[in-house]
Amino acid sequence: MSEYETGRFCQAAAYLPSRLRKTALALSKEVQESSEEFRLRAGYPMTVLCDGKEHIVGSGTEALVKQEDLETVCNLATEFSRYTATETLSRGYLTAEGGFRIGVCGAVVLKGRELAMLKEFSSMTIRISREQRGIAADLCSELIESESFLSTLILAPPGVGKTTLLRDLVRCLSYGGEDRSPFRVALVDERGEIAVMRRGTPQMDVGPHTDILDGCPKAMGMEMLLRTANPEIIAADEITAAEDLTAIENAANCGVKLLATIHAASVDELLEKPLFRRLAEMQVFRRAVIIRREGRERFYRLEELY
Amino acid sequence: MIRVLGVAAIFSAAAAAFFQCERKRGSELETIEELLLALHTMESQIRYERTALIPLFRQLSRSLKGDAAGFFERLYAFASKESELPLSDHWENAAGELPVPDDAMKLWKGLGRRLIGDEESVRNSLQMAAERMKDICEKLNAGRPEKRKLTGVICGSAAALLVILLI
Repeated sequence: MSEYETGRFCQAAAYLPSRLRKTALALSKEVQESSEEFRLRAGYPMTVLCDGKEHIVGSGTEALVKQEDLETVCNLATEFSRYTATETLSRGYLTAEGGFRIGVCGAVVLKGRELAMLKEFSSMTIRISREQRGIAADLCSELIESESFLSTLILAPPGVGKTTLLRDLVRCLSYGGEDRSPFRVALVDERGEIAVMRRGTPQMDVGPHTDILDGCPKAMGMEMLLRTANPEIIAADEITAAEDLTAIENAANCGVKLLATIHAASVDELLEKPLFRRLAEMQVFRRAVIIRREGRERFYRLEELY
Repeated sequence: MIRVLGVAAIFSAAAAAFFQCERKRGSELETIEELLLALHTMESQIRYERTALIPLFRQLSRSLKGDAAGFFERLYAFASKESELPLSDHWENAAGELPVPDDAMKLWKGLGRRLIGDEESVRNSLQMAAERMKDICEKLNAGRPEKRKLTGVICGSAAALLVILLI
């Protein structure tokens, strides 16, 4: 397992400029294994996020991040082709090969009232995503009733492991088990973080009965999959917009079950947000899985929504 | 007998020089045609598939022929290894060895600096470069018979003059 963890660290470090990459790769194996993010802010030293805390990497002026370093990260992530990332960059992130999401801050370029592009980058966060097979194995059977999957929401604050759990749930549902048959899962992977597609092949295991729509906005993707993939379950990451809710409602009305993640620490917090109150009123989701983190450990709690 | 051999040697050298010039011009034209093809391929790949430049360079290094393929091979190698330099630097380094006339070289080197920005500006740059490259190609093609004739006359006259002077 540790080899995999450090391997992913090294793959993510490949998007750093060589000077910073060398300091990152000089970190101990233990730090490499537990690192969750590289954080780069122009004018300050690079840090790595381990167990929820940021640690400075390197020392002296060599360790300082320059603005050009951020441009280099963007060039490396987009293969010198910023035009391939226009949509995501206008929403503040890049997706690099290998399924690494890079959050970007900088000067905003507006077109009318819409955010058109980010330029003059000031900081970046490279998320080191990792596959954790088997974490959803116990949960999976609790989400199935009379051979039918119960639509489920995964709730947690950012950086706690919603996408990792979602990926493993999709994998478990798609593989099936000794006592249950596999489900046809359709996955809308808007940010390319769940299945990590590379020339049509998923780089992370999401199961043999999973159809993946890569890089497609969720609402649009759900409608497409409903028409074309005949899914039993539609899975999507990070529900954030009203149109996503409409698409979810349409899918539920067609008899399709849903599996999605939302930023919220608890069901109460979720219901405080007007948009998600509507989600509760729709009564599409029967169960919620709340992720709690203690150090490196994650705990999953199941709640019935109605 | 020696004189006949000398004359034959001088005219053979002139013929070799003539064919060398012709080959150079042919190679220039072929390279420009291949670069023109590359520009069209890049534009359509970006338009329809939004292919990133690095995989596009690799693809072109395999599908093109001769020096144009070599250019994209070098470019791909530079950009994959030393990815911290701006793309325009890699482009200029790789372009240095292309056997094309000065106007085409100037155009080609300048293109490297314009392959940044959004899709529209990259595609516009590629389209403009393709139009100008097409003009250069047509000019070279149109002037080729005349240049061939001129080269033939110069090589023949030089050989004849040398024969008269030496023999």
